[in-house]
Amino acid sequence: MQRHYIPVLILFALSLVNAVALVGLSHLVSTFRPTHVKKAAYESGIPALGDTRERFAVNYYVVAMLFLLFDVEVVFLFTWGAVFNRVGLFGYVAILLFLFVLVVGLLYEWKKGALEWD
Amino acid sequence: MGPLSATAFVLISLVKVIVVFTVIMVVVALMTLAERRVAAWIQDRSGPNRVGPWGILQPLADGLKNLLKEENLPGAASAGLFFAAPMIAIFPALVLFAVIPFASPLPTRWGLVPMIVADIPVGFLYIVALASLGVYGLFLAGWASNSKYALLGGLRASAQMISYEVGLGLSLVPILMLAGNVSLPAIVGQQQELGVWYVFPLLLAFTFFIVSAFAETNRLPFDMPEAESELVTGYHTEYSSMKFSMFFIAEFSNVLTQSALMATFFLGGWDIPFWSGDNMRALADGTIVGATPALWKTLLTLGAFALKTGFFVFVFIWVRWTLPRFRYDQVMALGWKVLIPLLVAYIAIQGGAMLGLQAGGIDSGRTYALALFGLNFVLLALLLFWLDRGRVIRGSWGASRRRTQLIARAPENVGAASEEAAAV
Amino acid sequence: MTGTTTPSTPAQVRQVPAPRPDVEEMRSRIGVAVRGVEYDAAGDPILYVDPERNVEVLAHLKGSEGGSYDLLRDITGLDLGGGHPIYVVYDLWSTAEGRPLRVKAQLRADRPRLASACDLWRAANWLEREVYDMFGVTFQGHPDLRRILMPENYEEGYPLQKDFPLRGRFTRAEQTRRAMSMALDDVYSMEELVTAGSGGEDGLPELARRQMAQTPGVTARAAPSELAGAGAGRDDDIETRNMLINIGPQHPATHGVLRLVCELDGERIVGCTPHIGYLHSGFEKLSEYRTWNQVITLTDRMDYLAPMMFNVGYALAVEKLLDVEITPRCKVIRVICCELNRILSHLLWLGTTAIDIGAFTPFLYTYQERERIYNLHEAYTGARMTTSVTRIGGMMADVPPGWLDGVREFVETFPRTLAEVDALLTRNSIWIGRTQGIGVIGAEEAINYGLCGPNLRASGVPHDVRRDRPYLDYETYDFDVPIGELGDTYDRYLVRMEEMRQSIRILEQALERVPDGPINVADSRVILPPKSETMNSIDGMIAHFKLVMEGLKVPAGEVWYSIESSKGELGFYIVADGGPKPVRCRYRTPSFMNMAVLPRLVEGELLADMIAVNASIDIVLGEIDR
Repeated sequence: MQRHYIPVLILFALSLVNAVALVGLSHLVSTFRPTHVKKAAYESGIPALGDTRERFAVNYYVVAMLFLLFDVEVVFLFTWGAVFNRVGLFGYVAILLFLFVLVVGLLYEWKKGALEWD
Repeated sequence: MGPLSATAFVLISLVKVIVVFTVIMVVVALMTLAERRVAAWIQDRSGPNRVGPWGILQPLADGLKNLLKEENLPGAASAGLFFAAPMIAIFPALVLFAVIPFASPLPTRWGLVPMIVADIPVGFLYIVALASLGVYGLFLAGWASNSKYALLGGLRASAQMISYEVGLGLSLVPILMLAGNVSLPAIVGQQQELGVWYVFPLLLAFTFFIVSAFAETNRLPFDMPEAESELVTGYHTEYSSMKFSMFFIAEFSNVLTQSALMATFFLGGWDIPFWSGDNMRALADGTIVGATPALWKTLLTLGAFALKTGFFVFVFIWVRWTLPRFRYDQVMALGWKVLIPLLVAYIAIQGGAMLGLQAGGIDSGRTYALALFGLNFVLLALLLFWLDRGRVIRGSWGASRRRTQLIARAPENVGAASEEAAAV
Repeated sequence: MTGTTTPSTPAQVRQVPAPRPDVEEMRSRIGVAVRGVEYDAAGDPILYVDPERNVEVLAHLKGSEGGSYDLLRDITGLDLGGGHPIYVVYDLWSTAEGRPLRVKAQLRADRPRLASACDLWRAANWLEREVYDMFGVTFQGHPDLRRILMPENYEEGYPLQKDFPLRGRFTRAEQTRRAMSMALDDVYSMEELVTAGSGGEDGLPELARRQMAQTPGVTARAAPSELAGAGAGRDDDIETRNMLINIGPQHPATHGVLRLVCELDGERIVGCTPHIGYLHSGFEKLSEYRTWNQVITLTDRMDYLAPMMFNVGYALAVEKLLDVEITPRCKVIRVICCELNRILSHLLWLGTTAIDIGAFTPFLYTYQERERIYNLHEAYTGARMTTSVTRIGGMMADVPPGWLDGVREFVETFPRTLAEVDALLTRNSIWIGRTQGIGVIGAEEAINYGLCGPNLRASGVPHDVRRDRPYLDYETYDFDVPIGELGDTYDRYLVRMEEMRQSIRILEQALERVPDGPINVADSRVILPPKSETMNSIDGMIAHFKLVMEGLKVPAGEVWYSIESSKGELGFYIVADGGPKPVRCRYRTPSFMNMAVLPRLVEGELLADMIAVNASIDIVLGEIDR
């Protein structure tokens, strides 16, 4: 079965070559005559004030953590789903408990306001 | 017919990769044209129709133009990441197609060739894993540009895409439960065997999958990262020339892949309905189960697959030119507060129903599928007509029947006032 | 300098009206702060007040029970030149009684100063800034007295003062040099520089730091967490900074060259400062150098989305001053022009608002209909956008044959498109989610901010000039004035949609009653006599000669005349001295008043909402910047 991964690798290589070629080709063909104005970051035609890379409130950073949690959960569910017919009622009850714990976690985050803007 | 020999396998794989890759690139190019033509059709105008017959060469002209355009590099940008970002964005979009079966197996003189680039047993995980890489390209583009619009776009992209990835993953779990397999050809085979496409027994999962797919591809109504009315063009504000169009190639190939996935998961892939002549499955050892493969069958099923995929591509375009855009917090709320809890509940209900049906002795065939369809239909109706009201989006119920109050033209005192004015 | 002669009395009373008992009664109540009462050409009272006690009088007028003048329509200046005093003119309106009152304060020309009315009306904020910008009048107690239409570092003087030359004081080269300079302190206010440097002065560019050092009492803010309200009230201890971002002037959603400097905490708007004036053309100054009919070509360049309305409004104001009664046919044609343009303007608003909320397709539907109106423009005037359709005393020409049929066809078919767009948006739950409860302003506050037009009506105030002070016989048409209940973005949308339907109703009635007869008045003071008369009679020839050589002359006097334009109450404050050119043309444009409320509407909303709210108040920059 290992050999089925060969075409994946070929496709990876081809995509990578394609991506690099597109950027590289246009880099070679196109011109860049930078001027002071052209090199400035676009901010509606007005010189930007303040640094972009400051510590800036991303109100959804909690979401990133939640995502980790739930993505792991999805992986568990994938494995359970694939063998659903074989593990039967026992597996179903087990996964219900698992989901329950996760939903409680989600509700907790919800109540704590992690899913709100403020 | 036996399995392919090692050399034949490598050579045929190479041919398949190149052909599929080329076809994707061409189709993506044509999709940019299709988008503009469909938009024009919806908007009652002509669209691009000057380059070649029906404007068919327009994508070529656009590509050439983008290649020759001046390449911009903002002074404050991180050059390395700035160049890498479009490559990172386009890479996963193009490799995702590898595990999607697009036609029935083709008999050749070297053996049976499955019409899929890579028939790996973990196709499902491959898709879930690689699809999540796309977000890096978008986020890095926003970060590397060092421009405020781009940064906001990048932040939105990352938050939105990781949020909906969970929804996307969860909406696929019911498919696994029904199919009992993580290989995409097997899922197609299961649908043929069941005699009913999964869209019916998994109607609700299909609904959730469509919503998540729209959000994952950043298409309107979920195009937060590039919402042009507030962020100009979001994460690719600073990009020009080919790098700019690579983000579009990535977006369109994502649309194509998601459409193909919808067709595969829910519309039976390359299956032609009401016809058993295509119900065949290639086993790992190269033998075939079911009907006899043939070249004409391969072509016919390929056509069926293209039709289904094309339909979803059209839906993507259709929705884009019809609906307004959500607000960022609404998108996030929809993902976390609606989609995920509902999907968890749905998985529990669907699992329970399947176990119950199996306990009742119905565990396969049309009856089983139709019973599940009935359940899903009821659940969907409940969702749309009861649960959704005013919860998904603030204010969509109750106040939606607001009207302006009409006041008759002349109030009493105005008559008096004008008389007074006349007297003056 | 100009051909203008200095008038003896600016508001010369032409027909001496009987003193109005209510005004006399008011005067006696206010007492000695009122120095005199006059009546203008339209019969509206003018109070002359003691400049030391202007706020006292205004507060009394605003608060007096019963006939409270609660809506501040305008504050403007009037400089007659030649050492005459400068006047500051307040124009008030009573929403309850439906009548206007003008208050004038006479200031010394060398150092004009006056107390600010900002505490009474929020609307006074921008209006007083404009008077300061244009006349150099200092308003004491004003919270933010900066230039508004001219650049903040403009050093040539105060453009609307009579002795200011039309083309400015500096050489063209110097003006160009200054216009091209892009130094940070040219484009940012001190407050914004401070915000950007909120982490101490390190983050600031050199120039900004130097500028700040020179300004006394300004230091970079030190504690970012305090500034940001600790990440808008979250109980974490991660210090974050607010981001300052420019929306516009080159931005897809600002509907012209508007610049909004927004302070963002995450994506929530902490503060928003509109910077206007990018399209400033000095129309008010230019008008003083044009003959009365030439000014018409300036008016349609202000609200280029509803040019005919501006034409009509200006012509009506001057005709009021001239005391000319236009012909019945002209009245109906003008109503048709106005209502067509109301639809034209609302359609643009509808399409662009839909785009700003992400729905592209309605934009093209509305544009197709707009094209049809533009075709009608073209058929009538030869121009699609800058129509200049009116003349003092009539129209540029009678409508061409078949034109009314064209309008009729439009009136019959247009409601179908409107219903289509209505079906796409009104009940669409994304649309509702994006508009309901966003940018809410209540009736009382809306009046306080001087909102006008559909925005005011969306807040539930039924003020429509067509209804409250009818012109062009609007009182004889059967139509309704829609008002909203909450004053949110959705209400503003509903009100404008309904207004288009009502405009169609008015158009239908107008088309039925277009009378035959001449389009222009038969008054050789204002309109050229017919050719036969010019060629055959000495009177006609003299009238023709005088009109061509000198232009028409408007008797001395002043008038504040307003019509209901598509954006709101469009006021013309016109002062004449009997000469062929205006002494002062003040265009009180509705968008200017509506724009000023934006910072209040968007504070605390998200970035995307700001775009939606900005779209919903329907501004046109040509009108704001003039």
